[in-house]
Amino acid sequence: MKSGDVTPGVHDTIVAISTAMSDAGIGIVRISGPDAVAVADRIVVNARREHDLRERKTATIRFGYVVNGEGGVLDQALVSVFLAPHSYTGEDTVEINVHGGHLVTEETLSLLLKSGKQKGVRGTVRVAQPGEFTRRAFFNGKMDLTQAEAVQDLISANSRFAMKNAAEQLSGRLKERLQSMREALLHETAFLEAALDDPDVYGEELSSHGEKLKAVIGDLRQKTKEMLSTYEEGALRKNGIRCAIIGPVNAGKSSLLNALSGREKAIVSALPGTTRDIIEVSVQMREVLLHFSDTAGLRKTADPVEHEGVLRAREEAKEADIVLLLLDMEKPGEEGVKETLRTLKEKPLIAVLTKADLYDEQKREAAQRVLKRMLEEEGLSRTPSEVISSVTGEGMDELKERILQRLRIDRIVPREDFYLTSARHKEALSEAEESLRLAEDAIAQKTPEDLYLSDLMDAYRAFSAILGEAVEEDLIDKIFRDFCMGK
Amino acid sequence: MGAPFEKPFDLIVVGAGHAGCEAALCGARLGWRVIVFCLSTDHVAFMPCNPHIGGSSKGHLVREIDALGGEMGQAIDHTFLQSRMLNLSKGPAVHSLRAQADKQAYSAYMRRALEKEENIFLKQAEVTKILTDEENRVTGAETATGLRVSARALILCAGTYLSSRCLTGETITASGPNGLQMSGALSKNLEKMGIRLRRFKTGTPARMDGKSLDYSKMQIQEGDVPVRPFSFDTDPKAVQKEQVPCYLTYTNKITHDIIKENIHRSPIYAGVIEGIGPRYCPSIEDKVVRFADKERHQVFVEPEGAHTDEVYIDGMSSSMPEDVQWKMYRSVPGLENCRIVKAAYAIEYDCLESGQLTPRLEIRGFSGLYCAGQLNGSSGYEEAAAQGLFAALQAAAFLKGEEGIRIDRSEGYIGVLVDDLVHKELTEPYRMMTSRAEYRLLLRQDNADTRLREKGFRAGLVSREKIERLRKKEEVIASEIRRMKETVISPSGELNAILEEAGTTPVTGQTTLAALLTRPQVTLQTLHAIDSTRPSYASDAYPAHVADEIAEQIEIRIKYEGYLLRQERQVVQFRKQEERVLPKNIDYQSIRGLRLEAAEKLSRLQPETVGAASRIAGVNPADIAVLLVYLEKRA
Repeated sequence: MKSGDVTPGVHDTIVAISTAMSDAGIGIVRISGPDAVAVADRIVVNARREHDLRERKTATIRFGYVVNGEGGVLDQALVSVFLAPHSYTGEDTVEINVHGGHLVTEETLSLLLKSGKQKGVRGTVRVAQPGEFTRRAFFNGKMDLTQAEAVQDLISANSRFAMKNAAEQLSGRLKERLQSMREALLHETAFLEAALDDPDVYGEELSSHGEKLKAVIGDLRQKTKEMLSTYEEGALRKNGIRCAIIGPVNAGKSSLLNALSGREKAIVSALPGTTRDIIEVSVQMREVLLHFSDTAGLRKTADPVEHEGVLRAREEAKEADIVLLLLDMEKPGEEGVKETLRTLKEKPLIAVLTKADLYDEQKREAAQRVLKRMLEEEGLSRTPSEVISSVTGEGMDELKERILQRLRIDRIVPREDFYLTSARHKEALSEAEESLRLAEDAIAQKTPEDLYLSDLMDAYRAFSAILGEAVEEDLIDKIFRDFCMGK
Repeated sequence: MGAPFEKPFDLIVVGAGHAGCEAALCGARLGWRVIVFCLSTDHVAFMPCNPHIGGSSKGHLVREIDALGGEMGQAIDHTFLQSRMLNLSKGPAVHSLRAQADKQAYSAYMRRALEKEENIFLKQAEVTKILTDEENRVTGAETATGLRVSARALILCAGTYLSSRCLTGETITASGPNGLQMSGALSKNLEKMGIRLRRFKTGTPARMDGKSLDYSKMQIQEGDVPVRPFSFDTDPKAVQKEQVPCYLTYTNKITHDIIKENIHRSPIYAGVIEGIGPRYCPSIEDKVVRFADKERHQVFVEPEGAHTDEVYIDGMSSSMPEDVQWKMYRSVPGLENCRIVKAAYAIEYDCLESGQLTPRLEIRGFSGLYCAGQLNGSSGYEEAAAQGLFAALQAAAFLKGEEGIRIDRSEGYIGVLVDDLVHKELTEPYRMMTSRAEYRLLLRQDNADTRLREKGFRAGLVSREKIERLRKKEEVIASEIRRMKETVISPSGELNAILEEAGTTPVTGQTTLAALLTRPQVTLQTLHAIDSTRPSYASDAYPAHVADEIAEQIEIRIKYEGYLLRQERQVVQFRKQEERVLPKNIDYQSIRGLRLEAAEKLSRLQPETVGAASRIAGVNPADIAVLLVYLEKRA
């Protein structure tokens, strides 16, 4: 839904296979636009082999057949008809449910396109672009921009959290909240405008309005801030957490990755420097995706390929949301570890002692002591540490739990919580917050209303931008609707 | 009958209301021979509704008209009864001047102004036909009595007189306002020309015999002392005089009950009226119904003139039957024994359907045919006058074969007004409001001369003497602002005493005069004692009172600099869109990606710039993105 995209003809009728291209039980071919019914009618018949699609009422589903031009039957079908504006896109839409599989759905699609080229069809019939059905739904007022975005999020959701949050957004959670904030803002703005326009009528009321206005603006700003404060966590939860596994050679990084994925993703060998490229595994932990990346062991090397791997490992650590520094329990303080620690001071970090299965309690305690002292020396005494064994699986769940804890997203998200997950929304809300702040300051300094009204309108515009709505006549309408102008 | 005139006319103005007068004066002063037709030469610049000029945003329009070289500001300065600057406790952007006019004197002043112009011939006649050639170029006009006059340009300023009818309850009269003759023939002629018309309505309250009112039961409202004139060329000394008061009273539950009991007899609620009325100027019936929780509404009693006892009952316009009106008005404190001189009525009239005007207020598809005033869907004397002046500037340029001046939304309320009338789908009569101006903080009534006088000068309507005076004034303002920003002030006992006296905090470090002035409590006056190097603002280049205007400008421009700069930055963005011209021959229907509604609106309204396109209702930001991509590919 980038605004700079060239949107292809919006009065075209568009066709697409709406289900996955696989040998599934059913596949759905969807057609939407002014010619949808006429075009589909040529390739489907009812149980009595009649072309009757044009007589169908909206929101009906009937059994029938997909037929080719020569009267041959391609497949049985369930055919749904939704007439404008009572459809997903807001246009006439027909959905043809055929048996799944590449061939049947593709053939149905091409029959529709062929039918669209025949005489009597007014407009163009073509294959839909990705997201075009939703784009039309937005343009036709079936949903606002946040909902259209939620459709995309829902389709691409890869964690239960992302799915739930997108579903909430689609149901209008964000829209409703923004609309109510916007409405409150507009009401105040309209009152101020009405009072400035008609001082004889509203002048008195205006002079005692300051305190109420301050409260409303303060409340709106607080709400905006609260929404903004969910973004960091929301984005982490939606996109998953990038966890970089770094450490000296042979610290057990690839073993950990394999243990996490449950299969041999990375080559493990006793030979130091085996891993050179970055290998990734994603694991779901309490509705959040953890993206682990295994990196090359950090050491000075003359091998140019391995050297490149080390550089990439450092880069990965920099980009990650959290770094797992793996240390062999045998030698937690080995050469180079301290230098590495120094480069990680700004990062959320967990120190992980590996190969627990090989050592007894005494050894473990000794290793932990060494680690603790080293962290203290580097001013990282608050860094949590874990003990794991990739062989027995010991400490694995604790490690995952610790990652969530460290990033403070370990609590279970209550159903009613909603998170901001889009950078676009965050940008606009930040702008709104800034404008509200300016207005608050101005009110505190007793600045005249007409001056900070421009800040209030800026905030209003920012809210509207998230919803994808133009401001235009809102204010004037509101002034006339709610206030009685006289003189 | 061919015209028996020695020399042919260049410009025909149809109507001598507020639009027509400005149009005629502008045309004549730019050297064109003008004939003004009106239905009654005794009603030139007639004020058939409220007896005041100016008010919120309308006061801005009057000052802009004055800055461009129009007459309205001078006319009201000469004929006002009372004057007030509204919103003085608010920021400078919403200060608005409003003056009560002596209606007769105003009309007489304007008639004299027309008569003083050698190039104007004021003629009482009903124009029934606009003459055009086969290429839709204006060639002249024909009157009801068969007189034909030729001219290459014509400005239609028909006001509310086209096929109008007045309604007072069940009584309907086919007439213009105040019982004046209406014109049905011109409406028909316009429709025959393919011009689409629609019905709007408005209303006016009763006029009463002032002697029958008890003012002791009302609150008195006096004018300002001193009075500030509208015109930049009026010496404030000339407008200090004895003022006539207005009075305030209120409706009450009894008034509202009378209205509710009789609401079925209101032509609007009975469904007799087809026209759409303005929401911002509701009748008392509307107020009672729409704002049912309001216990009372304000009623202002305003003089109609110095030579009559008639008063105007502002806030209680109505179309109730007269018997209900008597009861309703008499329920208001102070009006118990009122005698109604003229009953309130609603008026319905023809005006242009939206989407037929170019940004030059020319009817699209014709050449030389301009429209101004209520015919364009606006309401208000000031809105009409502004359009009359603007249309005449365009017509005059057209006669000369040149491009007329442009005023965009960041330059003046006139720009906002014209742009809205051209690009908006009006659903009610359009009234100016300060909230319609996106760059309101820049479009102040105090700087209308700075914003527009150069344009008036270039158009030929403002004299060299006046423009030189303004340029000198600007020079002094600029150098003084510079000086105040550069003058460093060290903290001192004297300074801090002054600051504390003014109610603000003392300074501890070095600061500048300008920085001190940005404090809300500090004025130029406050700083006087510590600013020993301040030059005098007086000059031989302009009259003495200009020095006060200069001080005001310095204060505003320094005090609100932060806000002004922010809006100026927004203007830069706005201008970028305004400068992207849309070619005339775009086939919007063929642009892939443009929604049907947007394509339809764009082809109908033919916006001239991307900015204008973006302001059309029904064209959304995604459509503009598509349009920009299309333009790039095309280039």
